[in-house]
Amino acid sequence: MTASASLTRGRAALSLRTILLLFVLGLMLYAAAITIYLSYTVTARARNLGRSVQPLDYLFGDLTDRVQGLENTTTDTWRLALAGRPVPAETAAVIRASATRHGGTASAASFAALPPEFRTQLAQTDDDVARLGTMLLEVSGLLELGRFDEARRRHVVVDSLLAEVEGRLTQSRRDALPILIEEERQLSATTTNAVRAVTVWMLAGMVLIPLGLLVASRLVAKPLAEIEQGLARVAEGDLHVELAVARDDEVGQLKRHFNDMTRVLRDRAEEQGRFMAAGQLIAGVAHEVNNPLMAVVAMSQARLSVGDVTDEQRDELVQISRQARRAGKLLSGLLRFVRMEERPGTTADLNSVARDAIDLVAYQFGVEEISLEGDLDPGLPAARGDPARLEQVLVNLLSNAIHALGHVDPPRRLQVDTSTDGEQVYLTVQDNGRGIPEELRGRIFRPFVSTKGRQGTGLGLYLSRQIAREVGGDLTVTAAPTGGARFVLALPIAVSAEYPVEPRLPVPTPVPGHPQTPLNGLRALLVDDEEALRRPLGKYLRRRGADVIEAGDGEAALAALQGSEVDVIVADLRMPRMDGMEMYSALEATRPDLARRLVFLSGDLSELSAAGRLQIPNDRILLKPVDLKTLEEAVTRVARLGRVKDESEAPPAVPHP
Amino acid sequence: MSAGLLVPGCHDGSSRPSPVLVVVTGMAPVVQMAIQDVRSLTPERGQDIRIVVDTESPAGAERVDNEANRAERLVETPGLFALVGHLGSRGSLAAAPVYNRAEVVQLAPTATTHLLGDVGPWTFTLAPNDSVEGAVLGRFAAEYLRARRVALFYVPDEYGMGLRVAAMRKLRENGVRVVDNVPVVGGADLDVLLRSSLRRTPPDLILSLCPAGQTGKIARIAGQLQPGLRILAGDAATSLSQLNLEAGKATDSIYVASFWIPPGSTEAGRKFTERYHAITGHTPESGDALVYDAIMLLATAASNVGTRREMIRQYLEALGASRPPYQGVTGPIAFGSHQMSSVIIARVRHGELEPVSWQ
Repeated sequence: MTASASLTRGRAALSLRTILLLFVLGLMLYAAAITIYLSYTVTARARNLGRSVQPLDYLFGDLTDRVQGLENTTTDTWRLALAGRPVPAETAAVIRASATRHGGTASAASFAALPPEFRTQLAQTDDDVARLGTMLLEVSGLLELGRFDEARRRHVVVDSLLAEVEGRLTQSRRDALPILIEEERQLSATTTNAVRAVTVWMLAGMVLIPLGLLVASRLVAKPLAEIEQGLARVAEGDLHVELAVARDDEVGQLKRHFNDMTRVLRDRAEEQGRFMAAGQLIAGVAHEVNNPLMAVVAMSQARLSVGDVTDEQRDELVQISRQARRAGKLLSGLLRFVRMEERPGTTADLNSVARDAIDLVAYQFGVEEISLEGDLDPGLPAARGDPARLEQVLVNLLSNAIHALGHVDPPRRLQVDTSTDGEQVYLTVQDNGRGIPEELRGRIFRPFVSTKGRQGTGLGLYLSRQIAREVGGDLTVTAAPTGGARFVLALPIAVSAEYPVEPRLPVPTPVPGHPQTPLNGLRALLVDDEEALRRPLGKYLRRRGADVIEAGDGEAALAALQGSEVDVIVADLRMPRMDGMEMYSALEATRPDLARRLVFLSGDLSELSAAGRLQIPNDRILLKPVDLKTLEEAVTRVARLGRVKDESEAPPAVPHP
Repeated sequence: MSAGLLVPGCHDGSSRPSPVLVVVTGMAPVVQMAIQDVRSLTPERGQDIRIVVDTESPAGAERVDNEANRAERLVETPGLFALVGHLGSRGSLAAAPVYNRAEVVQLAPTATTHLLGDVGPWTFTLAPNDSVEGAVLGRFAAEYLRARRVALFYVPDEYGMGLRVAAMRKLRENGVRVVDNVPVVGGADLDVLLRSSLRRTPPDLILSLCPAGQTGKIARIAGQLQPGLRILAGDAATSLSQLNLEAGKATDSIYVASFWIPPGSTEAGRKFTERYHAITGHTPESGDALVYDAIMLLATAASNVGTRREMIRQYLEALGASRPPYQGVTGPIAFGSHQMSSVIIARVRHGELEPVSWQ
């Protein structure tokens, strides 16, 4: 796997499922083959041996037992016959019982299972043994009847038959032995062959199974390891990982999806990088522009506060101040758009989002001769989502609509509406452009799908839908009744417990005193490196009754605070030598009571969003250009809060007039 | 021992052999009658069946090796689909494993040993087994003949020992004492055996589970030694000619168990008896009727379901269950749990069997 490896089209291959299935089938076949082989060789041979030996064994055993029993009985009958005395009834009963028990016949069915060469011999022997039993009964009867001579003569016949039977039985055994030995030899040979075959088979298995596992490893484990390594590298931040696709199976498809995914992530990261760079650029511009704008506002409002101007001059000064603040608002909107907040909001007023977004792109309406229409629902509930991100969504939709309307002749109409059905909040953007081509409508929200050709990244709608879905909403598109496209952003209504509304800033109460000099008795330190700004601000605050000390940077401010007390400090963030945050940190360390009385006034507040610097409350942060009334309210509020706090903790170090 | 082709089936000249039904018997007259009747079955199939008769071995040569060898030879018969035989219990039992291995239906007409029921699914028996017959003999001895002491003479093979066990169980259940057990083989000195037995404990009944010849001798000798002593015999003694020959005047003391006594209770039995008498001049015996029924049953099965062995086997199994019992000369025929268990006790009177009405 290399980052520069070119993506090659994988060659057609068996699917992994098929390979695994074949592997398992192979294992089953391997296991079954040896079983079947053993069954057809050893088992069959053993069964044959059993068939031959079992009836032979049974008949030999049965006949031997019976002959032995009868032979024992003949000993008694001979003794009695030779004695020539009446036979006791008990003795006769024992003889009869033995003759009866041993004089039966063997099971007829067992003869059919015998090897044919033994049937006749053993059947004849069986019949003779039965005859012997009856003959012994006859001898016993003769003895009981006292016919001893006749009994002895009959006994000679019995002995003769018994000897014949024993001889035949011995001969049968002798005849059977080679057969049994041969059967056993064949079984032994078969067993040996089977053991040899099983050994070979197992050796083959020992080679083939690891080989199969190796193949499986190459086909599955190794590609999976490559994917795992790729994922690890992505997790470490390397988005330029690209896996080589060698096969067209499931793993190949997985790799292809992985490459698509990293491409999306890479493009998105580049997009974000561009946004970050733009944000930094705009932040710098904003600071540089907001300071003169603040000076313009401060000077014009300070001049207005004097009161010795004509009506015409007053109107002009008001216009100057208003236009400067408008320019400042536009800059703050741009800053908000290009920079994602580190602390994203959880609720949004879609009406405000719509207005802010429209402000950002409003200049194009005039250029493109687009009339803006729509109806923003005044009773719209708050929606889930970060206002800045939702503004990004809406700017994207508006930009798309403006682009689409550029391809049609006037009248060009763009309509933005908000509404709710009680469960969701809807923001609709529709135009009377050409609409989205039918072939694109199904995949317009996929990455890298664009109607703008090279002008578009193809990520705008994809990211917009992602933003909506992250909070449980959605972004959909349909054809507008006017012929263009109609995008509907649907968001769930924010639940107050789940998405707490941003706390409102406390409403400042006016400082009691003379209406022309409400800041009378208040001592303020004004810290800004721009004299053109510092001077009109100081002038205004003094005119409002405050005692103002001025400093050009943090160091000068700290020096000015040596041995003197102030009620409020108004400080810029970006300053030479010691900036606003450094000064704040120094005060935190040495004069925490003064740190709490610091109000930041800056053209770029991005530094305050940096990690570890978020503990400053929002009501002590003002963005240039700011209306001087707003500044005065903030100064009054901070001074009062700081005073109340100090009084509750300890007696003031310096008494105020 | 010889084999004869009694029915020249209509061989069609093709390489496929005609279906063959082998009959192991020496009862030529009933086979002749059966051949004529097989032709009257459904023409196509009935006329196509060839019946091959394998003449029974001479008396005394029915050894188990001969029967097993004969069976091995017969299963090689081309076109064989079923077989009737063998006649005795021991012979049938010796041959049964061969037929079951070869998967040929074996229908034993007169064998009674219950062991045949355990050999395999291809063996069927027409007669009630020894458990049934032995129980009837025991009960008849106790209830009708009111015997108190019984001496048992039996052939020491599957036939004799099977009946003996069943009969003794029933006798003991009825409080009858078995005073002697005497195994008897062919050629035994019955005079000595009987004299010594009667001397020990005189019985009031002899139960003979021996063939007709030996039973007749036992009756004659017993009549001389202990006049009035009654003889009760198993189905092997139903051959009246031998019985009468050996027993002489003592035949009237003999009671015999039989599965059919001519002319029977059916019209078919009456006709069979008349036909047999017309052909031979004699009255048919139980064995004749059973062999005839066995041949006709298998021929009927073949005409109904064809001559595939498995089909024949299933046909027989189905009788009395999914098919009605086959109506034979000896009565309705079925197998397994539906098998008929009709055992008749007859008394020999004036040389003829006379059924005893006792139940």
